[in-house]
Amino acid sequence: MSKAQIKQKKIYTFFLIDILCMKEINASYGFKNGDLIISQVFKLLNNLQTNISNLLNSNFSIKIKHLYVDVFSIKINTKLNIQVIHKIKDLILFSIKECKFKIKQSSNISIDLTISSTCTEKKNLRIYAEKALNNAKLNNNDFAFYDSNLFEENDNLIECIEYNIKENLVEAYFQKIVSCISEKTIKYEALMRLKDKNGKILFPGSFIQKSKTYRLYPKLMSILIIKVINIIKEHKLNISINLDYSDLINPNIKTLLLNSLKENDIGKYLTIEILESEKIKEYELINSFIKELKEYEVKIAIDDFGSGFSNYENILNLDIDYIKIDGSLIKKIHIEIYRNLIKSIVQFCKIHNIKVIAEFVSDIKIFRNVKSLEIDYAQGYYFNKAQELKEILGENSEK
Amino acid sequence: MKNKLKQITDLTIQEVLGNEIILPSTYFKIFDKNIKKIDKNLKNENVSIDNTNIILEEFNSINKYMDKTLDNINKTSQINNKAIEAIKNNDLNILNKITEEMKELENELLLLKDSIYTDSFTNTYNRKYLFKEILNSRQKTINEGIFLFLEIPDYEYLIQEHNNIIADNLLIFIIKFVKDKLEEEQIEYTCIRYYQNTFIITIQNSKMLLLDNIISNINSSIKNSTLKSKSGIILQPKFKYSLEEYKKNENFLSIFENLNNKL
Repeated sequence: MSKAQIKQKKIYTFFLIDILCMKEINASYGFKNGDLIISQVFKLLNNLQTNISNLLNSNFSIKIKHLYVDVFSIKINTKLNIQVIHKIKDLILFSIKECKFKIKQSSNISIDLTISSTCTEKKNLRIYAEKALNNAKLNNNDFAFYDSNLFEENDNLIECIEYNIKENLVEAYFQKIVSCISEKTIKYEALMRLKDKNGKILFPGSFIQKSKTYRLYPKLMSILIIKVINIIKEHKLNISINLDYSDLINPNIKTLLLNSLKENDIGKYLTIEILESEKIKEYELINSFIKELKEYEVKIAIDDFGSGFSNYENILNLDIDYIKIDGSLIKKIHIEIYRNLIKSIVQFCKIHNIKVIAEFVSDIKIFRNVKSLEIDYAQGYYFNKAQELKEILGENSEK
Repeated sequence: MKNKLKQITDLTIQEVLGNEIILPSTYFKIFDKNIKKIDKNLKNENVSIDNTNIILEEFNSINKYMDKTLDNINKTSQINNKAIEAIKNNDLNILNKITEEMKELENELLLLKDSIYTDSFTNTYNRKYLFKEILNSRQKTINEGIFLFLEIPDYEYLIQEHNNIIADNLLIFIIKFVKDKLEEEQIEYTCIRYYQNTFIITIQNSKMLLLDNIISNINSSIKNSTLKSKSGIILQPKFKYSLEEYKKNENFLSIFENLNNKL
């Protein structure tokens, strides 16, 4: 649909007004007081109707609703420009900040709001305003505006992900992990790829986020795990698979992996790469899973080490075999400050008998720098771009 | 002094590491160049630039460009006089020095050429580069390769409905994202801002199918991200693209028509 067509349809302006930390207010003052605050906010918004009308300079219909729990909506039956939207938002925020809300046991408290807004046709108002509200809350902002003309729903991508799941098309592509001393391949990292209906290969950056949002990612991961296990069974290749925190706490993926290891004698060929992330909260949970995997001789690696706020103490509490230094550091290995940082990671690993892998080794210069720091293994475009299994097998048979 | 020498050694090693074979002469040459560079850096260390003022930066760069041009004209004339004198006296030492000076001058002229061809706003080449370096005087392609035509469709809408700053920032973000991803994929490219919100990227070392796959993935990745302006406007960055393979000596206008039709 062209922008001109969109503009021809009746466009409304819609606001969502959300009371910040309502759960905390309920927990501190009790639900009765919480309800009292909600009713006062609703009353205040209704009182603002005249002020909003004045800002519009016209008699457009303004509908104010208590939508659910602590969220209210204002619907105006016209498309407002962004300046007017900002004026309305400021009016609401200012009025709420000025107001003292009465609660039963003490005199009064003040509250904060998050506001979102959108201009679009009726059927999408709630969806877009909720998206904006979610974005504002995630980023701790008090306002977000979602311009529907600037968004394109990527429905084809969801269809494509579902198609790959249904047709079992999820594929593993393989990137070599090479010894820095012998320069021989010691294992391969399995990387997920999808295929669209035109035969185009989709890289993770284009579908992982969406598949997680639409809760389809565990299905993709399960197919990949089964395929990798079968490849190991058939070709006896050393392969590593990436799992992130959501995979590690997913009981289906956990069971699938452990059952596969129980039924097939392939543990010694498999490495599980755990993504180093601040999202990892339950180190105990991960450690117990690692222990179970280690019973089958599976090796454990920490992926992307150094990308966030790496916590050496947490790492020490995990029984790991490898640390993969994040590509963002390896790319800058020639700069002294990064070189020293990498050096310190390598020293730490040597003391604790952990092997080190450098990712993103894209040219001979980076490889020479990596070797000079006595890093054990390297991986990156200098050795190969991720390849299909048949190419890997072809290369191996030529040797 | 030891620290300075260590710094020069580090710089030199990093520069030569990328070569398969490193001859002692290569090492000496680069070492010598870095000595001069470090000296120059030390001389300039007190100069500060106000990065926040784009207009001032632009003005300074024009001034710098003018100064450099004048400087280079003077240098050329001096070198010319020296050369005449050296040839008369058959002085090989001076002739060797002149060769070195000519090399330096050539480098400076190349830098100047770059600044004439640069769209400083998006840090890409401008249209002059396309018509001077990619096409010949009859607007035909000098080499073979692939043209990637890229359009940012929301640019004009953003200017109309919101403001220029948001539109410009979207443009800068998308182009930087595409350039970074192409570099990650080790694609050799030259990015040219063709007109406001359109870019032409020339690619030499890739195949059509592979490139189509890569660009399509870049577009999907960028669509998954959201940008937010200070005033709270949420944006989905996206672009439209088309690809066209071209041979040496092909007419640019017909290639461009194909690119436009495919978009």
